[in-house]
Amino acid sequence: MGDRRLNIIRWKYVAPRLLLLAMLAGTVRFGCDPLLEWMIVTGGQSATGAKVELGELTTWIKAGKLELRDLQVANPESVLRNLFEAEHVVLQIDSFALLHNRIVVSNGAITGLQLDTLRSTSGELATSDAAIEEAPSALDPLLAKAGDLASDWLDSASQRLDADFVDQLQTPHIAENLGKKWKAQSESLRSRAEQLKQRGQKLADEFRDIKKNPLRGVERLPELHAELKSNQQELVDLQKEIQGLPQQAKNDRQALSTARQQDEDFLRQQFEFDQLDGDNLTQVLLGQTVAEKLQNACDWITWARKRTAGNSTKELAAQRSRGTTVTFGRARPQFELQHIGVELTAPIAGRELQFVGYLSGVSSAPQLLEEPARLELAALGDIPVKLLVVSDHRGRVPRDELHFACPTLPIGGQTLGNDEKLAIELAPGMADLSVDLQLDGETLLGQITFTQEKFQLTPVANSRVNQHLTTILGEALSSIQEVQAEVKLAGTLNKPQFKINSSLGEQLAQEISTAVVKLARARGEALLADTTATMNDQLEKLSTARSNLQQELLANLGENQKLFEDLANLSGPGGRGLSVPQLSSRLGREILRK
Amino acid sequence: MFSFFLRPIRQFAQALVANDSPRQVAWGFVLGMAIGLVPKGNLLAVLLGMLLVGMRVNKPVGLMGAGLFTCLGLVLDPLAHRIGSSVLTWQVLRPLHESLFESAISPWLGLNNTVVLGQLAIAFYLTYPTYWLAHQFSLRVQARLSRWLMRFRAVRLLRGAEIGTQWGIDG
Repeated sequence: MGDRRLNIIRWKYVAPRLLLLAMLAGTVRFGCDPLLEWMIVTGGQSATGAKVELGELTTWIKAGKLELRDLQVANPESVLRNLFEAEHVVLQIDSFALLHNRIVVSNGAITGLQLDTLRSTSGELATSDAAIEEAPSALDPLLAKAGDLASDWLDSASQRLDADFVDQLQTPHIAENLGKKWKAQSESLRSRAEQLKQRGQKLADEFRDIKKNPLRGVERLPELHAELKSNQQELVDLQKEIQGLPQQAKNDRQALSTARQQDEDFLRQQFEFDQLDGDNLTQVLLGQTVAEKLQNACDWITWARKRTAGNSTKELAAQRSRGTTVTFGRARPQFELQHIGVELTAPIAGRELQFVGYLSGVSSAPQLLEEPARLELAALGDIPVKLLVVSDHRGRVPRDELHFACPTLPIGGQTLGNDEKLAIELAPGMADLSVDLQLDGETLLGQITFTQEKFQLTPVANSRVNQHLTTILGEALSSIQEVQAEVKLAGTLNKPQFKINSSLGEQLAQEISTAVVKLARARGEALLADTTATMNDQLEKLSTARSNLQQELLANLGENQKLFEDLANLSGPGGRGLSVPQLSSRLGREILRK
Repeated sequence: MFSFFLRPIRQFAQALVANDSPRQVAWGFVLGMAIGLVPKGNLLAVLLGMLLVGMRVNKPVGLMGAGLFTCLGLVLDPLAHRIGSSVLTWQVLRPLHESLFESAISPWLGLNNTVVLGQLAIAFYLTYPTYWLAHQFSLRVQARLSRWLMRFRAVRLLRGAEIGTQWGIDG
């Protein structure tokens, strides 16, 4: 019976196949490492879309241990940078779960992990034809607008302070016109006085001729009489005009005073500035930094969420095979990372900080786990930095949280704002920073609080900005010793928004506005003082010139007046006309004796 | 080399005219039926295949059965799913299923899949009828068919080649 049982097995057939199985087992054992290496590299490249390089891989099948050395994952958006690199990765894999077609990393450690490191070779995949999207950040327009508003204000202030308003002032023009007008008038008066004098002399000469030969000259007497009358009238007019000179001077002074008043109003208008918007200034000064960090965080979360969605698709695809696979007991995810220690080096404020912590609860089906995924890191050394990331994708709406706290965070020196228009240099210091970010589905909520003592801001000298403005900005900024900022985060993952509440912008706006107004007032007053001095100088010159001219002309006209009066007296009282005998006797007696 | 290329034709002829006993033919067909019905992506199908090739049963008939019942199995999938679901959700067997599920090998056997379990149940159910029918067919038809086929020179040549192979005279 026993022989019969043995005979039913065709050993001739079975033995070579058992040998083949043994060879297969050996191949699996020794081919396992290259196969796993290929799977990790291929799977990683497929997930990230960039090169994944692995220095060495060793497995211990019986112990379920996997060790990776020199792992580098390139950044798909920057070909010469790595997303991360790790010197040493040890993973303890649950062999029993592996038999159930599940990969469960029960424990592990990643040491020498570094983020965003440089690569010597390009990390771009040769087969990759996906174009890298360099879309602008959703926050850029907001920051650009705030920056433009603030820098436009300062540009306008700088231009107005630099502008030469002298050409636009009325007082210098009026003073100059008055000078020209007076010059012409004085020349005209002098000319008229001289002409009058000459005509008087001529009349006197003609009267003398008539005296010598009264019979021949008698015919001209009426004509001479009319001429005398005309000259007398002109003399009177000229005298009136000269006597009216003080009144004219008064009018000119009034005109200049009115022009000065108008100039004062004009300058006040020109140097009147709206109050600089403190909120805008805060956005300009702190917005860039906040926006960059926030956008980075959102990009990382988006990237991670995209990868999670891919796993769900795979699971759905797996269910499309024949029949339904029934699981008994609690359902478990296909991939699960229970706990892994992390030792990480990351740059914070220009310093390489060493972090230690753990990553737990990462899986392909988070809804099957009791706890959400957690990443907790704490810095070693003298800077107490703590980071906690909780990613809860167990419910219908995924929820991610990030908490970062550092009471003594070193802040590197940096230039805030647009250094072509307005730039302010922030000196290095220490700050208390805490970040609480929460993402429910696509809705972003959060808060960043920032406090920095020994805060030092200095304006950057720029040829486009008025030098006086730079100086007074320096004085204004030196009064700010401490800054506190609270950033409220809102919006969505694709369009994050933030509002910075900080006294820094208000304080700066107040100081800058006051300083600019003070500078403008000083500039206006200086311009007005120059104008007033010019006006007074001109008035004095005019006054002196008028007074001299008046005396000169009145003295000259006095002689003419005497001559004309004497000649007029020849016609007798009431101007009845001249007779030759009278003329002869009177000319000989009074006038022509001279 | 020559026999390697002739092997499929030889085996087909042997299925009909071989000296295997009717029992060997019947068991070969039963194993082929089970292989054909059960979905192939699991260790159970591999084990059944190993049984077929590792046991002294009529292998060509088994392969024919596997081919035949693979087509039939697809038609029977809805029924197999219902049967498998009933078996898997039967409270009496639940502890057994749970212990099997927690064991290291069970996920590879696919016994927690409704169609695998249903098709296996159908295969068990059809084992005896199939064996009996195959045995009867072998008893009544094989001898007559063998005599009729042996009249053809080509079959005799193939038959000779098979005997030669069995005796170790491999061309």
